[in-house]
Amino acid sequence: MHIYVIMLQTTLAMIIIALLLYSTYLYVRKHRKVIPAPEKFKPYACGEDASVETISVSSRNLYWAVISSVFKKLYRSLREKLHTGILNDWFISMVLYLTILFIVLVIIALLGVI
Amino acid sequence: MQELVEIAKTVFAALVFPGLVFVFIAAWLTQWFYRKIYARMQNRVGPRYVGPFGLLQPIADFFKLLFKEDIVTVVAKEKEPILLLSLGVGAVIALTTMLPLSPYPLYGDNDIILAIYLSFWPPAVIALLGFMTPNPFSAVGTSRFMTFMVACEPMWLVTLLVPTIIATRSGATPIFSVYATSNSIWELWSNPLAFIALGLALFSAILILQCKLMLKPFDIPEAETEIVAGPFTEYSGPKLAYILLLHDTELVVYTLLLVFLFLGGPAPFPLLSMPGILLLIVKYVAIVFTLTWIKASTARFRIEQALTVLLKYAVPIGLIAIILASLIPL
Repeated sequence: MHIYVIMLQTTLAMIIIALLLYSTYLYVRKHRKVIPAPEKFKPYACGEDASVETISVSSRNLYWAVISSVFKKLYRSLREKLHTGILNDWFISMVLYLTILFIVLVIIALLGVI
Repeated sequence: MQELVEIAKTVFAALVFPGLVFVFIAAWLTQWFYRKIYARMQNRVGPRYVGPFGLLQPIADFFKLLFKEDIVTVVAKEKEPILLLSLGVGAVIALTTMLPLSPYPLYGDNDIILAIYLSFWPPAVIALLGFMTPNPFSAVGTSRFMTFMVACEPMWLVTLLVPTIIATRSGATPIFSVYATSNSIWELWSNPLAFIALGLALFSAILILQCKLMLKPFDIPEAETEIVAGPFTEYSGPKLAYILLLHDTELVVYTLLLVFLFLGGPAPFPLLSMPGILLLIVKYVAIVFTLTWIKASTARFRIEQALTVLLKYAVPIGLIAIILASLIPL
């Protein structure tokens, strides 16, 4: 069986199951009991009165957290070595980085890959 | 006409066996088993009131939540989370149609990539669920979850590739296929070098599965004593029922995937025989028991401790296994 046929068939299976589950929810929603209590529709913040702006974390922070947590040591060492506040430190690091990149490109070119 | 028959077979496999109905029953029994075993390991009795030996407790819990009020906070999305959860459950169950368990299995060259793609849906769904309800606990939980998945998901791919590489190199066709790997992997355990590669990959896969399912010690994203329920804090009623369904569906299908890919399913017996079915159940229960045992005997890690464990053990072991699988003579 070709991979595209398998892909189409598994997608069909996935969508059928998803539609069935979604319609079950719509049915349940129609027959739900609603107990009026306006307090419960506020976001849960351990009893604190929090506005939407204060409880939302920007997506930029979320993505950056991934990098700064997983590659914590690399992130910290780069920050300490590059961001010392002295321009020469940053300049030397960048020259070193670009030199390494240039050497790698020369090796690849010599090997005839590109 | 031929195409219509093929579609009808796929619909049957998706909805009945080994699809929705089968996975729902398996998820119910698996949840009961691991709750009972987990309780016994902690010197408790576990579920016991609903049905004989508490057997119907998971079903009672699911339907109780399903018919409860669906509380949607003022800034949260109402229907989108359910649509995402339905797609996530659909993706995981669609994966079962590629297992040899199915009467009409879907297989072909390189289908392992499709299986891995389908198993990437639930983490994406969980991350999006966290974003859909502005809440400090959801934000922290989602951030932790995404951090975790950066280390976890690539290794899931690596560990699942190990048996398929070994099977393909030994001549199994179609190449890199779940079906072909499941049918030939059992005999390959007798090769000492393949044994080492498969053993290391299975160890790594179980550790990664523990992490993917957010079981202790990797339950950091939903650590209830710190951040209520992480990405799921604002979800209740039917949405919580669907979240639990997604979790249990993942447990069943990924365990079955490991049983077939690494342990050959019912091998050395044929599937349609009593010893074959019994052996399949034994292998399945052994993996669920191992996951529960790890969950019961460990305490929650901090996020950097968990990442260190993953990067120190699961990642190098997985990488050694895939290098061995690519180089050993077969």
